[in-house]
Parts: sequence; C-alpha cells; structure tokens
Amino acid sequence: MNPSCSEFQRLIVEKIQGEALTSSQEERLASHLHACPACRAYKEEMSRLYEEIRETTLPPLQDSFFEDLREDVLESLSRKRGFSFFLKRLAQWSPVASVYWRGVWVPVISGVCGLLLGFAIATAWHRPLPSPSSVSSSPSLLSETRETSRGSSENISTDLLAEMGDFVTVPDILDTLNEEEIHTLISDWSKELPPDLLDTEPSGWG
Amino acid sequence: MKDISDHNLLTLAQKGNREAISRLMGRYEREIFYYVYKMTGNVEDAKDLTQDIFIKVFRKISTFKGKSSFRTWVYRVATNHTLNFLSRRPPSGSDAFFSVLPDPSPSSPERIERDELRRHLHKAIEILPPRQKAIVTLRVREELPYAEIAEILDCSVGNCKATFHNAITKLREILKNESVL
Repeated sequence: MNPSCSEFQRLIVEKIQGEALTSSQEERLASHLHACPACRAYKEEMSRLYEEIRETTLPPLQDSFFEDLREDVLESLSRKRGFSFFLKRLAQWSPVASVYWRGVWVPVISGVCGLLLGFAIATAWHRPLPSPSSVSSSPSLLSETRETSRGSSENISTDLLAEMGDFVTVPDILDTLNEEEIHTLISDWSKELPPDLLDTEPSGWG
Repeated sequence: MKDISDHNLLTLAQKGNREAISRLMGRYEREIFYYVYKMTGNVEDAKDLTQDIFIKVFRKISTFKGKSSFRTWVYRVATNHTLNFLSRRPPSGSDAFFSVLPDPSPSSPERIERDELRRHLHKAIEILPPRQKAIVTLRVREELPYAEIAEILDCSVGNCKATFHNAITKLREILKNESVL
C-alpha cells in the first residue's frame, strides 16, 4: 500500500455508499485499483462489510403492535405527569442512572429522601415560637419599661405609636401608662434605634 | 384526513388535535421503531423508547419551528433519546441484525462463514462509540443522505463523513484481527 492509497480508500468507501464521484475521480480510482492489489482487496472487504451491515433482520410485527403503541402514547399525552414520571426522570438523571440498572435503588433512595424531607418539614412546622404576650408579661421587662418611660416628657406623634404597634406589642404595658408617658417612651426608643430600622418591617420578638 | 400534508397535520397537532397527532404518529411510528430497534437490538427496549420519543415529540410540538422537516426532527429526538439510553445501558446480549430467522436450507460452508462474520460484526458494532453507531445505522441501515444525518446529529456533513469513515474502518480492522473478513 502506498501513501496515496488512503485517498483512494476514501473514494472506495464513498463509492460503496452510492455517492457520486466525478469522472476524473472515477478514472483515477479505476487506474489505481488496476495497479494496487491492496486497494482491490480493501474494496472487496468494504463491499462485503457494507452489505452485511445493511442486511438487518427485522422482527415480524403485527399492525396491532403499532396500534397499541399509538394508543399508549395518546393516553400518556392526555394524562398529567404524576409521581411515576418524576421517578422516571430521576432514573434518567445520570448520577442515579448508573445505579438504576442494578436494581431497585431509585424507589429506595426516593423513599429515604421523602422520609427525610417529611421529617424536616414536620420539625419546622412544630417548632415553638416565643409569643409577644409572653414577652410583654415578663415582670423584669415591664418594670424596665416603666422606668424608662418616666425619664422624658417629649411629645411624639400617635401615628408613630400605631406604626410601631407590632414592634411594641405591649398593650398590657400601655394600659398602665398615660399618653405623655407613652410618647416619652416611644421617643426614647426611637432615639436609640438605628434610623434605617424604622423604615423596615418589624420582625417582632419571635 | 388521510391526504393531509405533514404541515397541515402539524398545525392541527400544535393546537392539540388528537386525530392529527394520531395520524402523524401513524406515519412515522414504524420507521422510528425499526430505527430504534436497529440501534438497541431489543424489541421491548425499542417499544419503550419509541413510546417515550413520541410522547416527547408531541409534548414539545409547539416548539417545532419547521426549520427542518418533521421527519428529520423526529429522527433527531429519537437519536438523542436512544444515544442517551445506550450510554446508560450495560452491554447486553441484544442483537438487532444478527437475529437471523431459522434457515430451513442445509448449512453450507458459505452460510456458516457468513453467520460467523455477522456474529463478529454485531459484536464489533456493539462496541462502537454511540455516535459512530448512530451514523452507521443512519447511513447504512436507514440509508439517509449525509445532509439529513448532519441535521439529525447537529454536525457538519464533513464531520459526519469523517465519523462514518472512522467507524467503518474500525469495524474492518476488528473483523480482520478476528480473521473473519
């Protein structure tokens, strides 16, 4: 086989596939094949190989096979995607797919993940939060609030009090104070707070 | 609805017309099933994959813009889906093109030799990289032109030709090494 054989072998493969060669290529190939036994053998082998690949025996299938297939597709299209679809997609996900074929790992892993997720949700749902009333009824805080409220006599808008209602959450405390004391209390608190905090939604004590 | 063109059926199918979907599938189901069968070599796998392919096609039919023919688009979905399946599937004893029906004629030396060649050829095709296997199947078994194969595999015609040449050269080398060619 000489170096130019690779070029002719490419032409041979194209010719076997039924690709049209130019008349110049045809002539050069014929001339080369006449002189090169290696390429003649190559052509014979490739022709045989090509024919063998092409000759596929297909399974004999009834029309009903395809009718059932079509019905299944139409039925699936009219159904909503359910949990089985989720499992199937999970099985196709490559990290899972590598173990999918070994057995029943997907249902097992899905079940464990589901249990963990359920446990996490249940835990979060039942976590007890401190209620504002419990804080407002704390004796130490109540006395501290009273002390602070008597220190100043500045007026403050009652709108601010209403706006900060959720933050204060001390209706019980307010019942014990007069209006001036309440204004003073709010004024003192607002001086101690960072200015931007008043612009934000209070998060309460929970 | 029998004589309606693909284009008109597609328009109806995109609006969710069940009859149009059924007609469109009826036109391509055999072709796609046998193509997938030639790739996987197993009737059950081919059936499941064909079902998945058409479900995917009709669920995404609203995204089909008509840049290629509907047939090419279905082949493209089928090829991607099957290559994905083959990359996950462990090598099996599947056999698409060696599933020779029993031959009632007495076994001649030529026939024995040919069966041997087919057996080895099947094994050689099985170990080809999936993309090479797809090109060999599309080109030789489905007899599609390179321009269409290039659209299906989203590559250039030159790239397809080179990949096919590499694949068939590799097959020849394997069979020569096993002294069956």
